[in-house]
Formats: sequence, structure tokens, C-alpha cells
Amino acid sequence: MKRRNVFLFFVLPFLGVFVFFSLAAFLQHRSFRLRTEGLVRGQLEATAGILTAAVSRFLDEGVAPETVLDTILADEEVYFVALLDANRGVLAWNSRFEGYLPISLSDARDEGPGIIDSPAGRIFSELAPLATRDGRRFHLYLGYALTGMEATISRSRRTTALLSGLALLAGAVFFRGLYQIQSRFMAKSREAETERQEKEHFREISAFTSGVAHEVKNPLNSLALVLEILGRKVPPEAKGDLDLGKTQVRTIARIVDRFSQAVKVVKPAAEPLALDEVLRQAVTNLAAEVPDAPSRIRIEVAPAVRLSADRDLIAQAILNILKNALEASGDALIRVSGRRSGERVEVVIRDEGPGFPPEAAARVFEPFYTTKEKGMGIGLYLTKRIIEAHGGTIEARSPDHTGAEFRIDLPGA
Amino acid sequence: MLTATAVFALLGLIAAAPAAGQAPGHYYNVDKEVRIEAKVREIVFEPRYKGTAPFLVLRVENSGDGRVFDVEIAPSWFFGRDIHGGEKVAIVGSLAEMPGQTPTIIARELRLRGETYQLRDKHGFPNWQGGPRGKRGIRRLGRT
Repeated sequence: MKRRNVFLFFVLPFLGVFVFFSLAAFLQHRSFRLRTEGLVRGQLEATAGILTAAVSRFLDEGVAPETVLDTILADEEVYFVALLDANRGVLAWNSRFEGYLPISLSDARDEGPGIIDSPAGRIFSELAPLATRDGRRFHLYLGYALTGMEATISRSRRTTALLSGLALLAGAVFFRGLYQIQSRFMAKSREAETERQEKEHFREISAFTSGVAHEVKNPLNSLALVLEILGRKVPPEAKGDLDLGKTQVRTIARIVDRFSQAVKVVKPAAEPLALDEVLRQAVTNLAAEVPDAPSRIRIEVAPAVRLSADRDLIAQAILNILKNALEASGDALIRVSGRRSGERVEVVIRDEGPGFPPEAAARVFEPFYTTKEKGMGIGLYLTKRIIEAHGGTIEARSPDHTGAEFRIDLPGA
Repeated sequence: MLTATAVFALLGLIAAAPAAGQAPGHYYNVDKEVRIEAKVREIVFEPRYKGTAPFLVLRVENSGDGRVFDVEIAPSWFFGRDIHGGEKVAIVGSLAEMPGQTPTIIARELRLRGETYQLRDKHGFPNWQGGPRGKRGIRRLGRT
């Protein structure tokens, strides 16, 4: 899959979803923080109102301002407190932190509450006006700890971060899975397309081959008949040429038969068979064409190994491989082994010929693919079709180019 | 009703409250920040804030005009460095002047023997105080 497509279909949606989740979580957290701050502000303003009323009363009663402030500071949530005159000059103050009274013009607001950042956390500051009965005007400057709110907001922040992290993780897993599924689907689609093209190609070849075989066979039969009649009439010195003609006609007929066979649908009639018997039958059949075949092929199979197959078709399939092996190996021995593997039967045929390059391993079963000068590329193709028609598989390999190895897997009986 | 309840509660707390508050002008006022270079005349340990450990206070003489200041450094347990009379120091802090008393500088930053010590943050929050943002210690900002 192209990098651009991966970006468009996976990375981009993933980033989009993540940004959406993060934004939603951020807005939710922000809204929560504002609501919490609003609530705390309201509560603290009410408290400040109560305190200013109390301080006014104390001042009316002649209690010293320092004593009043100490009383207020006894509340753990109050970080600092100051009593200011009408001109906002500090008359008295007290703080939990030595010398810390953030009453700069840049910190204190004229009206309403403010929030001051400090190393001890955020502090809610309130400058509340108050007046005594005798008309004196003051301001009460208060600094409240917002530890409860800080903890709540911090929890909300952690939750937001956790949710964003989970969204990121879930998104990554989801899109990664989606990408893998899509990749597998694409790979399978490509395989299916290749298979479809191969089948289409095969159908075309089959149709063409059947047509050619049909058109060639009739005149060929006539020609064979004519040559037979001529054989009775020609003088003895022409007999040799006539026999050569007859041989050529037979060769053409055999080639046409093989093509016809290759395009026929394989319909095996499976029955339980002893593997060693099938292999020996293949060797015996091959001996008709290659007389020294029995002496050059060594079969190593236990008699108890049985498979479910069509005797003639399987023997033909194995014969094709053995024939190729014999042609490729010179005088070397061909080894055939078989064994039971669970419900399956495995047959391995090894020769000591020159082998084939790795790229040829996948092509040796293609129709009309051959490396031999006189070959047609039909034998191994037919073998593969017969094996697959039995529900089996076949693979060819040539480890280090030292001979060829054909491994056949078939259903056991 | 609520106000009355608060008043009674506050009256009740008066008995348990600490002693009197701070002198009105003795706080870290960022609007009155000064920077001086001075020579140490005297080193004393004095209680500066009620309920806290004695503070290291330097009595210094300004190199420029010869004015004398009390420089409030930090609680003695926090500032554990040797300091001697006659040494030169540079101080950044908030000036607190009260009638009839030696002017005091509440130090935020102290430079001594080429090293700078951070004592408070820019709003005057003391560095020896803990808080939710982690342990706080004296910060040396390196040699100059």
C-alpha cells in the first residue's frame, strides 16, 4: 500500500479522532474548572462577607486589629489577611508565610476576587470594603487557599490526560488493526486477481488447444489411413520413407493427445490404496518408455502407508515427476520416500540432477513452462492438477541447486 | 443569623489565637524592591515572625551612601552558610521602613562570594516553605 494512502486512510483519521477526543476532553476539563472556580468564588465571597461583618463588629467593640486578624488566620484555609485603611495602606496584617503578603497593585484587584499563583498553590484573594458604625472605612484583604479546588481540578486534569491517553492507545490499536485487516484483504484480493487471470488464461489456452486438437485429429486419422493403404502399394525401396512418415504421424497424434489430456477436467475416483503399490505401478508404467527406470529408482515406503486416491491418476502424476527426474539426473539414483503424517501422507521425490534456480520453483508447474529442449511443459502441470484434484498440494525446491526435490501432500486413508 | 454564628465562632477562637500580628509595614512589598551592594557589619539571629525560628539578620552598610540596613535573610536552619563580618554582599529585596527603626530589607536574593542564593520568589514567597509543588530548598544560581 502506498505511503500516501496509508496516511490518508489510517494516519489522518486516527489523528482526526485523537484531536477530536483531546479537544473534547480539554473543553470538558476547562468547563469543569470554570464551574468549580465559580462555585468556590461564590462560596468564598460569602465567607468574606461574613468575615467583614465580623471584623466591623470587632472594630466597633474596640478590639485591636491585630487580634482580629489573628482570629481570622486561625482558619487553616486563610493564607494571609490584612486590614487596610481607606487609602489601602496596611494597618495590620498576618500571614502563614513569613513576610508574604502579595498586595502589590499588580496582584490585588479593585473589585471582586482574584487568583494568585504561589508555590503553595493558587490563592484566592479578595479585597472587601467594610465600614464601622462611626463611619470609618477599611478594606479587608484576604488570601484563601484553594487546595480543595486545586485537588479536584488536578484530579480532573489527570482524568482528562488518562482519557486522552486511552483514546490515543485505543485509536492506535483500532487503526493498526484496521490497517492490518485492510492489508490482508488487499493481499488476498491481489492473489484472487492473479488466480482469476491465470484461470482466464488457462480457459483461453484450453479452448484454443481443444479446438486445434479437434481440427488436427480428423485429418491426421485420414493421413494415417492413407499411409497404411499406401504401405501396401509402394515398392519395397520406398517402404523406409513411408515408415518414417508413419512415425511422424504417430508423434503428432501423441502430442495432440497430451494437449487434449492437459485441458480435460480431472475427476479422481478416490479409493484406499497402498502407497508403495502406487509408486511401483508408476515405475512399471515408466519402464515402457524408460527401460532402466526400475533399476534407477529406489522406493523407501513402509507397506502400511495408505492413501485415498485414484490409482491411475496418482500413478500418472508420480510417473511425470519420475520421468523428469530420470531425464535430469543422468545415471544417478532417484529416491522416493513416503510416510504417514497424521491424517496426511507425504511423498518426497529427490533427484541428483542440476536442480533449478529459485525463481523457477514457482514456475515449474505452469503450463508450457519447460527448460528441456524437447519438452512441452505439460507433465508437471498435469501432475499439479491431479494432486490438487485429490485435495493435496505439491511443491518443488532445489536446495543449493543440488538436485530437485518434489514434496507431495495427499489425504491418507 | 449566619453573621452572628460567625461572630461567636470568631470570639471563641480569639482565646486560642497566636500573639499579635506583624508590624504594618513589615512585609514583602514588590513595589518597594531595592538592590544594594553593602558590607556586613554585624550578624544577628532574631525572631522576626511569631511562631517561627529565629532569622539570620545581617546589619549592613550600603557601599554607596553608607546607610545602615537590617537585611532579613532566612531562618537560621535554612541558610546554613558561613558568613563573616566585613564581607561584601549584594542584595535584592523589599525595603520596609518604620518610623524610629533601622530600615529593613527583606531579602529575595543574596549574592555572596560570587554565588547567588535565591531566598524568596518574585512575589516574596519564602523558599523554605513547602507546598504542593514539591520540596523547596535554597537555590544557588551559580557563580558570577
